[in-house]
Amino acid sequence: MIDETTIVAMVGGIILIVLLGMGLLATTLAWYHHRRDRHRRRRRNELRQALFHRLDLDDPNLDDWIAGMSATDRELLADIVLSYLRQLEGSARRPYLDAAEALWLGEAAMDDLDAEEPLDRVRALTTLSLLAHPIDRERLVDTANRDPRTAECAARLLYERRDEFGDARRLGTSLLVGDGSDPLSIYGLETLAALNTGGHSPLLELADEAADGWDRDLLVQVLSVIEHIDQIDPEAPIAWLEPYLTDDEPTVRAGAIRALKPQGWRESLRERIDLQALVDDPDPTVRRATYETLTYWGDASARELLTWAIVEEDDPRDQLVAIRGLLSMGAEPAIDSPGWPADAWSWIDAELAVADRRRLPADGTTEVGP
Amino acid sequence: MGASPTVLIVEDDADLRQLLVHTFEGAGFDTVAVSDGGEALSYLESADEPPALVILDLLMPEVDGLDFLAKRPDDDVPVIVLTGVDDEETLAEAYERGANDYVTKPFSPKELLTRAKHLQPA
Repeated sequence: MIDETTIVAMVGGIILIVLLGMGLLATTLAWYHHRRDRHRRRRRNELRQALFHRLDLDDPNLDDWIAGMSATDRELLADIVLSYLRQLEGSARRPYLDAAEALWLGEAAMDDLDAEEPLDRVRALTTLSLLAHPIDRERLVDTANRDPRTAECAARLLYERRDEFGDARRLGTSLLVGDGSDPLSIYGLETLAALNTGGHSPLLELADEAADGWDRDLLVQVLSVIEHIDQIDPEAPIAWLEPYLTDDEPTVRAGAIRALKPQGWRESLRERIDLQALVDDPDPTVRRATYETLTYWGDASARELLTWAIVEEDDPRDQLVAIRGLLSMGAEPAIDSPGWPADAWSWIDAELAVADRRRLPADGTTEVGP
Repeated sequence: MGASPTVLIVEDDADLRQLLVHTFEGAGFDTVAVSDGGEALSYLESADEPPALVILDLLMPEVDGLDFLAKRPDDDVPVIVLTGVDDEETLAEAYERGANDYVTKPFSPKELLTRAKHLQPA
């Protein structure tokens, strides 16, 4: 018979052996990874120097050099080349584009466009956005339609290589808004803004056609992008925005009035929309957005509405926005008006004066005021 | 023939650091490359002569670029900030702490060299 003490000792011994075994395994794995990482770092340094040396030659003969490499070396070299393509611009990219071609990175990325895993497709699109490898438009659209995150990367690729596609802005924008059922990630939203600023903006036309059916979060995102569109096109459709000024949701009403900021030069628009209703809106975020838009417009009517709002506004944050707006227009304080917030006015006036003194002069020197 | 001017390169990304070394050495400069603002400060304190120029990344893990600018012993050495950061506040702060110029990533090595040469004494 085995007594209880012996059983406890045996179990304890077994646990100790298992723990020691696990410790030994963990130590071995850590040592292995450390050694492998150190080897890869050293090899990466060697390959980087060899690449610089090759690229300095009259005939770098990259094809033959790379053909003789192991798979691991090719992988490390590809990583170095992509890193430089991310960091460089202008003619300095050319030799690294040649290296990418010799490594067949474009072909490998094109193959991965059909990968089952979304992450592999995203990686392929990210790589292609750095290269000059030709891309078939239909294939890009087919890949983008597989899921929203892939669509965002395809749109980014179109933005980065917009000079190669005649309709890059429109196609990229339509891939991003898709069927309107999903809001964008921050990456997608930034890409939407990039595709629709600094040139023709197709977003107003696409929204005119389809905004009614869009997810509400996506709609608010689109409104935030339209706020920053710098396109002055009298033909650009904006009438679709106006019903959203009376939407049930305050975030949509606030987004809609902000989206009209860059359209203030259209006199007919300013006359058509009920600004007084927006200044009277029960939601403070809508009133704040309205004050910001009026400040941006800066016309006589805007000045009049802001002056009225400063006296009537209940929300202190909104009142400060209105004061800041009027001051930026160079307005004088209406100190004789009943309820005029003289203290708040003086405070913002002083704050703006300090900010003016801190502004960076054109010659790069700085002058910090007291 | 006089000695080549030395550029101190402060950049935590090893690939970019070596590219900068290659670029400046190819243009006739000597280089000292470090991966952190702390190493750069140690170099400045121990070097016999200050470098002719500093190329400075802003975002680094230990002592970052802004800290380096505040702590460096010799603010006569011109500094070009090479950074992915392009917000006005950070760049204004870098200027206030003595940076002379900045180049944003992605960048053109030719442009960086041109700006570096403009900051060299005639």
